[in-house]
Amino acid sequence: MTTIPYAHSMYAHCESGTVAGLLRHHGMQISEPLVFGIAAGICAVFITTPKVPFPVFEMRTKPGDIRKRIAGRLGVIFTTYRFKDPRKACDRLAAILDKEIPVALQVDMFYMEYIPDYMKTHFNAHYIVAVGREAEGFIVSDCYYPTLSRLSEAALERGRFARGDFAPSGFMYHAASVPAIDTTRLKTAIIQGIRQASFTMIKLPIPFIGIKAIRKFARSIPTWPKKTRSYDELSHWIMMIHVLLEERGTGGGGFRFMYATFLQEASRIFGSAELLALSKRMMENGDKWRELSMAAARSGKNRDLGPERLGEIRDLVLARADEEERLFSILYKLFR
Amino acid sequence: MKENDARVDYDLHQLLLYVEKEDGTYGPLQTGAFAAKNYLGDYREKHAHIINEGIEKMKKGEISPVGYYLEFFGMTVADLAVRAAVPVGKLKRHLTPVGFAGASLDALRRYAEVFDLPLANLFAVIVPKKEGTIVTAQRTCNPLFTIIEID
Repeated sequence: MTTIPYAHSMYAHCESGTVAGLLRHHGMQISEPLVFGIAAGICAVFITTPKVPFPVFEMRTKPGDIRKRIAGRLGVIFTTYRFKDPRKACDRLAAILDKEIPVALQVDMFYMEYIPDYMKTHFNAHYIVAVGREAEGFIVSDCYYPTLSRLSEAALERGRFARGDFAPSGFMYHAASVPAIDTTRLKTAIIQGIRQASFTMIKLPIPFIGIKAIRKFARSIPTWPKKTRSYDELSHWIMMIHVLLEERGTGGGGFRFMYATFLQEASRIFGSAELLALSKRMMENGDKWRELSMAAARSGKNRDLGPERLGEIRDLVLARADEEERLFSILYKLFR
Repeated sequence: MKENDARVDYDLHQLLLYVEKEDGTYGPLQTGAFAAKNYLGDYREKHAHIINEGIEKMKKGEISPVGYYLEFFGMTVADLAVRAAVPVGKLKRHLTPVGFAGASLDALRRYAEVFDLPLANLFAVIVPKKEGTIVTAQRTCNPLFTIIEID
């Protein structure tokens, strides 16, 4: 029986929240938006694969990138583990917890016993922090929930050893060394983060990443009636635009509100009026993403899904692509 | 987004949003989930259609329980095949009642694990007649044996 005095807190996004939570536990006072911004967490990806029932539109970077980039840019050392044997994975986790070290775990969200049934979906790259163990399982801090949760050993094992894309393979990590951060290092890390994010958004020559992905996603929307078998299914996927942008760990506006908060924090650190102005523009951009996600949800609910309506949603998304191209071009030039 | 515009009164599903506070600074706000509060009923209605259609298809012998749960959880054949470590061709056969009858117990156990269900659920659907009846399936150490409790 162990319980670590870990300050559980809700965060917007599981990966940035987990990293921020661990760093704060080890004494680094850093906010989630700073972690997200420094790690260039903002992105846009549009992919179609037979493994998912519908084209995937994500507005964040690849799972795992945030931890790796924070390690590189802030000099944090994370000790990472992967396992083939679930028994060894469980024993190792218990041993580290007994040393009162909180451990971040990659899991398939589907098996987390505390999630409501409507959120049960297989997603292998969810992150939680194990902060204690009891006779029948573990105490975990899942930043999507207001309180600590309990998880049986069997459920955690299933979550840690799920197969499929981004299979966790028992992956876990904990902070081994967290340095004190001076302003110079922080400024350098912020510049690296902004430079990488803006490069990814506007310059990366890959057709399904960045602004190109947003446009591709927009243009696909009017074709969705052909991809669905019923009006109900079409309505479901249109309403999922809202869930993906607002409620699936984004902090609202498809991560844009969190990025605006990062830019505002960065403006204070640099004393930069230009960054402050850009943070306001990013917040307004997030507001427009939210407006379009609300419009999509209403259309889905009212089954107002004719070609004109889908065309309107497409145009709203295209307008976001245009604005983000302008915004990230300014950010790119600012720290080139 | 202004703080007041973001507030949603819904305790059952909370989340964190970043909002503009009254003093112009941006920061976190814990609030209710808008979609969960306003659209969950619609989602449940759609899901109930999927369940009813699936049960009807199973009764008519058009799909197997594996096909039913594939629809139930909104998964694809490719994803289920990887997760259950069953070749796609074999899995496609298991989607039909005839193919399902030829599936090995081990393959069915792996499907059940992906769906996070006791193996017994691949052979029966329990439909309570009284509203409010709670049916709980308890796994045992024996992966082929389940205890079903009805309250």
